[in-house]
Amino acid sequence: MPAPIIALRDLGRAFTLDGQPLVALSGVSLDVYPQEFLSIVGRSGCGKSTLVNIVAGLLAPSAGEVLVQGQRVTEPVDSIGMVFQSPVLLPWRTVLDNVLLPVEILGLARDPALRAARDLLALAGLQGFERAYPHALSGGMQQRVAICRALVVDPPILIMDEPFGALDAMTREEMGVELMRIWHERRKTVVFVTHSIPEAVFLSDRVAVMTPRPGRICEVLPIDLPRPRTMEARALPRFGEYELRVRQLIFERAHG
Amino acid sequence: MRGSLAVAGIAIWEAAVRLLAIPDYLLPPPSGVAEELVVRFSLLGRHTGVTLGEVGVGLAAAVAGGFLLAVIMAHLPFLHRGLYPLLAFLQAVPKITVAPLFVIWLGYGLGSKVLMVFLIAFFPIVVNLTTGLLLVDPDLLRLMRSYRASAWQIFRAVRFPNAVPYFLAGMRIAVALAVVGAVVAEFVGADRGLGYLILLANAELRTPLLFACLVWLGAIGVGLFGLVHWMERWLSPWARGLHEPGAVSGF
Amino acid sequence: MADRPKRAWRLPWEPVALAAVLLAAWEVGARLLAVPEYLLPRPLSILGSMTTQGGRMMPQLALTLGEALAGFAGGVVLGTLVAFGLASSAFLRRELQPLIVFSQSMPTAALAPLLVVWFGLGVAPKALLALVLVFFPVAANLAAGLIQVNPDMLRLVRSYRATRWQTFVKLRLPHAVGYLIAGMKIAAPLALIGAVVGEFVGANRGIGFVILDSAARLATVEMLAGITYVGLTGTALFLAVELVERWLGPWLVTPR
Repeated sequence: MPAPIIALRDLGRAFTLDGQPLVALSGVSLDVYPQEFLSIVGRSGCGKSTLVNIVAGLLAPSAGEVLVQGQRVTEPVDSIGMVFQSPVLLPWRTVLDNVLLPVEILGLARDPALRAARDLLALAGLQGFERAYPHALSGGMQQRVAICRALVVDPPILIMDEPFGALDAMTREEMGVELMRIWHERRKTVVFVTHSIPEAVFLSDRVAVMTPRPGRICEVLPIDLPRPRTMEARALPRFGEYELRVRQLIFERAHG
Repeated sequence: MRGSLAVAGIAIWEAAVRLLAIPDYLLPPPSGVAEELVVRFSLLGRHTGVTLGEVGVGLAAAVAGGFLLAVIMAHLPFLHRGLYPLLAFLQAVPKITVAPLFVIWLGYGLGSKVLMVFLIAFFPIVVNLTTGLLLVDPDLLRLMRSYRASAWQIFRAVRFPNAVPYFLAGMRIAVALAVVGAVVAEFVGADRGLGYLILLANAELRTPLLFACLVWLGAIGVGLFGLVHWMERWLSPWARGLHEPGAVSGF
Repeated sequence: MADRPKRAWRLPWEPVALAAVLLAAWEVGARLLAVPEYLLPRPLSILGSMTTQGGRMMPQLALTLGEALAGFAGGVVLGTLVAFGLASSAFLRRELQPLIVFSQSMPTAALAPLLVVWFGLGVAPKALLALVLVFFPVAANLAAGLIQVNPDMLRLVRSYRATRWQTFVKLRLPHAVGYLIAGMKIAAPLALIGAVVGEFVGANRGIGFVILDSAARLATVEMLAGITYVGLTGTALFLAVELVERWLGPWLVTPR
C-alpha cells in the first residue's frame, strides 16, 4: 500500500452550545490513499461536515492532527479543492468567470488557467455556457460548474461535502454517473461525504461509516465492484450486500 | 466600553459650544437642551401628548381600516386584482404633500393631523397585511381543503396567524411614517402639538426649545417602536428566529 | 436546461379599469352633489389646471426637483462612506447602532425648521433635508449588503485563503450593489419629500411653496394640480431607479 495522502490521527473536536460542551468528534483516525474514491457516510448530525471542514483546514481540531501530503494542516491548503452542498456560484459572474475565481484569488497565471477552465467545462458537458449567468442554469448544471471550479487549479485532492444533497433523486443519480465519468478523465483523490448509502456504495473504492455522539469512524468497508461503475452495477447482488452491511453498521450502532 | 462614542460626542459638543462661544439660537449646548427639557417639562408634555394622540388615533384607524380592506381583498380575488396594484402604486407616491388640503377641510384642529396620519399609515399596513393573508404555503391550504374547512376556518387557523409577521413589518413602517405625518401636518397648520411648538420656537429663535422638542419626538418614535416590538413578542412567539418576510415600504 | 423564457410585460387591465371607474365616480359624484370646488376639486378640473397652470408650475417644480437631486447625490455619497465605515469596523457598528435607532425613530423631516435657522430661506436647507432623508436608507441598505454575505460564499473564498481585501472586492462589493439600489429606490421619493417639506416650512419658491400659496388662497384646484405634479415626479424617480435595477440584470442580489 502506498503512503496515505491524507492521514487523520486521533482527531477530536468539541463545541459549546448554549454553555454546554458538545463533543462532535472523538478519536477519529483514517488513512486516505492517493487517487482513491473514499466516501464518508453517516446520518445527519454525526459530524461528517465538521470532519471534512477540519481536513480542509477551515476548522481547527481540538485534539489530534491532520496530515495532507505529509504536512500538518492548520489553514486551507492549495492541494485541496472543495465542493459544497450549495454550488455557491457568484451570481454577478459568468460561468467561466466563476470557474476562474480560485485562479484570481490565488494569483495564478490566467492564460493556462483559461484553457484548463474551458477544457473542464467541455468535459462536464457545459460547452457553450461559458458566458451564461448562474441564474439561467439548473441546480445540476450549477453544481457541475462548482466541480469545474474546484478542479481548475488541478488540486490532487477533492473534498465533496454532500454535493448532490440539494438535487432531486433522479438528477442525483445522473450526477453520480457524470462524476464517475469526470473522475475517470481526471484521477484525483476524492473524499465524498453523503448520507445516501446507495450513493456511497456506487461511487467509492472504500466506504467509511461514521456513527454519531461522539462522531467516530466505526468501520471502513472496501467496495469490490468493477470499474467504470455503470447503472448495471446497482443491480449486482454484491451491491445489495454492501448496502446491507453499511445499513447494519449505521442502524445497529444508532444509539451509541 | 459601550456608549463611549456617544458620551465623547456629547462632551465634544458641549466643549465646542462653550469654547467657540456659539450663540444659543444657532447651536445650544447639550446642557442647555437638558435644562429646557426640565424647565419646560409641562409645556413639552402637553404638546407631546397632543402629537401622540394624533399619531395614536390615526394609527388605530389605519389598522382598523387596513385590516378590514385586507380581509375583503383576500377573499374577493377580482377586487384584489384591481385594487391591490393601485394601493401598491400609491405607496410610492408622496402623500405628505396633501397635508394642506386636510387643513382646508378640517381646520387647525386635531382632525387634519389624524387624517394625515391615517392616510400615510394606511398603505403599508393594508399592503403588507393583504400579502400576509394571501401568501400562505399552498400545501397548508390543500390540507385545510382536504378537511372541507370553510373560508372562516381557514382564515382563523391559517391565514390570520400567517399574516402576523407581515402585519408587524407593515406596522414598523407605518409607525415611523405616522410620526412624520403628524409633525409635517402640524407644520402646515396647527395650534398645538410638537410640530407647532417647533415652528413657534423657530420663529422666536428659541433653538434650545426646538432641540428639546426633537428629543421628545425621538422619544415618541422609540416608544412606538418598542410597542411594535412588544406586540411582536406577544402575537407571534413562534416566529422568533424566522427570517422576516420582505416588507413593502413607501411614503 | 433551457433559458427561462422571457415573459412579455402586459399592462394589467383590472387596476387600470378600477382606477378609471373610481375617477369617473369621483367626477360624476362631485357634480351631482354640487360639491364646491374649493372643498373637493374634480379630476377634470385638476387636469385642466395642470395644463393651464403648467407653464407657471413647471419652473417651480424644476427648482424643487433640483433641490431633491442635489440632496439625493449628497445623501448617496455620505451614505456610502458611512456604510463602508460600518462594514469595516465592529466598534463603529456597536457604537453607532443606538444613534441610528434613535434617528430613525425621530421624524427627520422635523429638522426642517432647524435647517432654516442655520441656512436661511434659500435652496440649501431644502437640499440638506433631502440629503438627511436619503442618507439613512442608503447607509442602512448598503451596510447590510456589505456585511450580510451568504456564509457559504465566505467559506468558499476562505478555502482559497482570500485576503480581507480580496474578500471585500470580489465578494462583498458586488453583493452590495443590489442592496445599494434597493436603498436608492426607497430614497429617491424621500429626496423629493425632503425638498417639498423644506419648502413647506420656509420658502418663496418651488412647488411646495406653490402648494401652500394656493392653499392659503383657497385655490384648491390649483393646489391639487401642484400636488399631482409632485406625485407624478416622485413616482417617476422611483421608476427611474427601478429601471436601473432591471437593466443591471437578474444577477443582482436583492435583499430578501
